[in-house]
Amino acid sequence: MMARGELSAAREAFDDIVVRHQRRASRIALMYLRDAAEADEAVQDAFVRAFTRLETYRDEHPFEVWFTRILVNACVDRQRARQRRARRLVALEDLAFEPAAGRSASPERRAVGLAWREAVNAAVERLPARQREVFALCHLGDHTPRDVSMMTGMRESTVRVHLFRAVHKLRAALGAWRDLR
Amino acid sequence: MIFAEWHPDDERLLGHYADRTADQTLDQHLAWCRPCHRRLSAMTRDLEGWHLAAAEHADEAFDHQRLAAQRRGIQQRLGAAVPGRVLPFPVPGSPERHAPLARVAAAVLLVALAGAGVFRVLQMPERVSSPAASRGAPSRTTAAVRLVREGADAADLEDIDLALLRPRTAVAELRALDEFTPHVRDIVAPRR
Ligand SMILES: [Zn+2]
Repeated sequence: MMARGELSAAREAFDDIVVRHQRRASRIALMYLRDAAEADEAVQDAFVRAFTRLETYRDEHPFEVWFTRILVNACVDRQRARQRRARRLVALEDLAFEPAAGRSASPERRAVGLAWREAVNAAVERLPARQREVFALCHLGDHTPRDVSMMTGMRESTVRVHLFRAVHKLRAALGAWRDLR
Repeated sequence: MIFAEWHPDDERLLGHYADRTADQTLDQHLAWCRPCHRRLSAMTRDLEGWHLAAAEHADEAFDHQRLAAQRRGIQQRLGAAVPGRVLPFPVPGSPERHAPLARVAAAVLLVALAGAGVFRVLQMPERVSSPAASRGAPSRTTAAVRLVREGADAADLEDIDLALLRPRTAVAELRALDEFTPHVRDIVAPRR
């Protein structure tokens, strides 16, 4: 067996990768799962899986694409587990976000900013699952439709259609905010 | 003779934004067509606004404390799921917007030779600015070999080192190294 010090060195080394990717991963997972605790768990699942499967990584895709695919799967697993739990429960959990207060900025701006963020998140939540998924990966994850196609197994043309529909819906839903902000 | 005037539709504009690659026909059109230029600007403003709103929202939920706790959670779980053999590759990992694929970030190479009592951790430098930079600075990678315990074969390490110098290390080479070094698979115990 590995000595304790060796293992901790290995984990410490992997921590650099975690630091580099965790914020983006958390954003994507949150948009996917719409629940911070679930998103947190999904991100941890994904990193642990990535660590134990690094030897399956092939260099035809960048690491980030490979890792995001693992993350997407982790989110899907969490989502399914949640659906199974929900079916067992009489009442669904409230998945709505708790609006968190902004930090500095005037009260008016803060209020508008918070309301705007709520509006964006509500509009994104109303998107159909596939559109939300593609939107999260393309837009929040900063990935091109081609990368998202590799991550999700969807055809690139399908990714583009979902993205376009998502953006179209969001623009329609949030159009009224353009002059307020 | 009247030519129907062409203007890109919203889908084309969105593709231009999402792909981050040049679209010569579109670029030429945008250079002179002010209405389309304004349409693209408006779309970009919307997209960037949503990005900011969603990112701020997520970052507030995942503040520094939570991210630190997340890392601790991962570390704890890694302790329960020890891979005998982990072979990563140079990875593009910069979170910079608009260039997600173009960068090479640090990679970790763990070679655990548990039976032989040999364990090494090789790590690329913290900041590798570009593939070209890493190619031009072999000594940095060599210097980054962080932990080499007794029993390590210098030639073997050099091979790994050389393989790591290229941004896209040939899989065949790493497979060869993989074959060369023993595996410890039985101790993998993923926590669920
Ligand atoms: Zn035009």
